[in-house]
Amino acid sequence: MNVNIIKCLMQVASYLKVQPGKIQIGSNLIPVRTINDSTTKGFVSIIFEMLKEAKCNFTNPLDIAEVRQWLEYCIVYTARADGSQNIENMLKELNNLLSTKTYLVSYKMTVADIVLYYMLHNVMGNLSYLDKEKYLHVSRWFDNLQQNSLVRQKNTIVDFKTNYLIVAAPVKH
Amino acid sequence: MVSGTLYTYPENFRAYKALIAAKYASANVKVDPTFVFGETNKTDSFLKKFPSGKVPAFESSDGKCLQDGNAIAYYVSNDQLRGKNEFEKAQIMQWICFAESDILPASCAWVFPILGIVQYDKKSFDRSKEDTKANLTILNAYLLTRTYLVGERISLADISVACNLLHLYTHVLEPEFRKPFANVNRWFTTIVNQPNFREVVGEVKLCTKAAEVDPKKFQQHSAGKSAGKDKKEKKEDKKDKKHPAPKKEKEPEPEEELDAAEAALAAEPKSKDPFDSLPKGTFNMDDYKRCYSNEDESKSIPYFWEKFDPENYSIWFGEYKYNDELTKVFMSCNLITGMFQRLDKMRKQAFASVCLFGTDNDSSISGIWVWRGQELVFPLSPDWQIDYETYDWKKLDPSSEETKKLVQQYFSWSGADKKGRKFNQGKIFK
Repeated sequence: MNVNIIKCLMQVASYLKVQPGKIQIGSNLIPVRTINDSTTKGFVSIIFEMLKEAKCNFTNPLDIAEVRQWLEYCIVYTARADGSQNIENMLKELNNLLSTKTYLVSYKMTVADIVLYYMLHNVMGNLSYLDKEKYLHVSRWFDNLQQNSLVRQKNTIVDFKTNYLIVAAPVKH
Repeated sequence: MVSGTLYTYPENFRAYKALIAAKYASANVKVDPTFVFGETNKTDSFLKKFPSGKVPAFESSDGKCLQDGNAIAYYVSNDQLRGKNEFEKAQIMQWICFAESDILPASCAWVFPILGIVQYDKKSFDRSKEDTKANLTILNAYLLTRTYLVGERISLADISVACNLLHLYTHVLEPEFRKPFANVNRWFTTIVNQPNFREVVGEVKLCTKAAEVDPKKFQQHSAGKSAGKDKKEKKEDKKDKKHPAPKKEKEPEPEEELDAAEAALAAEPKSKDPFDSLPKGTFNMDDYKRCYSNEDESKSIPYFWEKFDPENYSIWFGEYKYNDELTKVFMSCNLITGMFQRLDKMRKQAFASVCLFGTDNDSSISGIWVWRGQELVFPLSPDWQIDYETYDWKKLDPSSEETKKLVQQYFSWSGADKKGRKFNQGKIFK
């Protein structure tokens, strides 16, 4: 899977309405953000810095830990998932998790959902209708996020219309 | 932005809807802290504004009055909650109607007997579980592909449906029962954990073990409170108050809303049972009442004689002393039900069928009573002494044929009184 980390971070900055600064990929493929003469290294650290600038403060330490964990997941697994087998495993895992949860962390949309949305946009757009149905919970979560124009930005809307038919005519896989 | 005052008793799920919607819209809606249920909403000034006297009721700061939680919620909410186009608005209305006409009746029939607010009836109790299952199945299928009920954000539909599910999720939907409805569970926990929801309702703890029906709870609760609280009876209660029935004490107001009864339930201290001093005997009142309610008289009357314990229980004939003064049939019926209410604490140990014979301006009231003990039961408690002196009481010999005939007649609601007036209506004290 080919996720453009720089683009992803730019979109997060735009969502949070903060200056993206200058974002580059440094040595060892680690992103580096330079803004106002200060430099931050590392995907997760950059996002948390942006959150701070946007004055998006989490109050619950558990939420912070979970958001951090999901950001790590995004950069370590999602961004690097290559080959259909890996992608399939990841979608399966997410589908399972999202069957009992509306959002990744606590009960509201957090930056973890938003980053995962950006990272999965290509994958979801390329899924066949049958696969969208196979990962119904991921689809539902994704569809919910993309309806928010602040989150979606310039990304195309992925079509999930056929999913809504399955309630009327369930398909067995 | 709307501002105003909401009248409600605490922890009313109907009022929650309005309060949550107000949070979303940052509307300034304050609950009137001086409101006392059963008093404030009976005052003339309140009834002038809100003719039904029901709560929640809302008065905006510019004097507009509204009743019903859903309507108030709509008024105090914002465009996000109301839906962004006409179709969404219609969908929201559809879900609110589903919540009111499908979810709520099943929820009440299941949860209220457990809370002791209404009397347990096996048929409707069991049916409520099936109805709830059917409702949850519909919701579950719908929420499989959707995050919220209407559109991709929270709306009044989510607030109303979640509020109407609150009692179910907190009292009876134990993990095993709710397991098949994973999508509903996901949606429900998301909704009730929204900050605006939590601020109003507090933490919602999902049921870990379904509460069971405890008949004692109903007995305790119904003491001094109206018991069968279906709408019709409520109406009768009110009429009864206007009727100049011989009563000296101010009785507690019948609860308008079942939930208020629930609130009262928690507050009410356990009262001592006046029957405690009498031997228990072998006749099982609850068992017999169940038989009487569920079986035809051709079965329940022989069952009565089979189980009746003449050692510890007695049968009485009670006849109203002032039959000449009876006018309208409905007023006379109110007289009977009013008496039943005042005798609520006796219910556990007594059974009666009181009948009205004849028609308007030519009628009589009499009934057959069965209770624990051999003496006239009413002097045992000061609560019971309001009505009984207006009746002539005759103890019946359980072994005589005449008694058997009377029991047959009154339990099966048939025949005529001494003056040949035909049976008109019957009321069962159980």
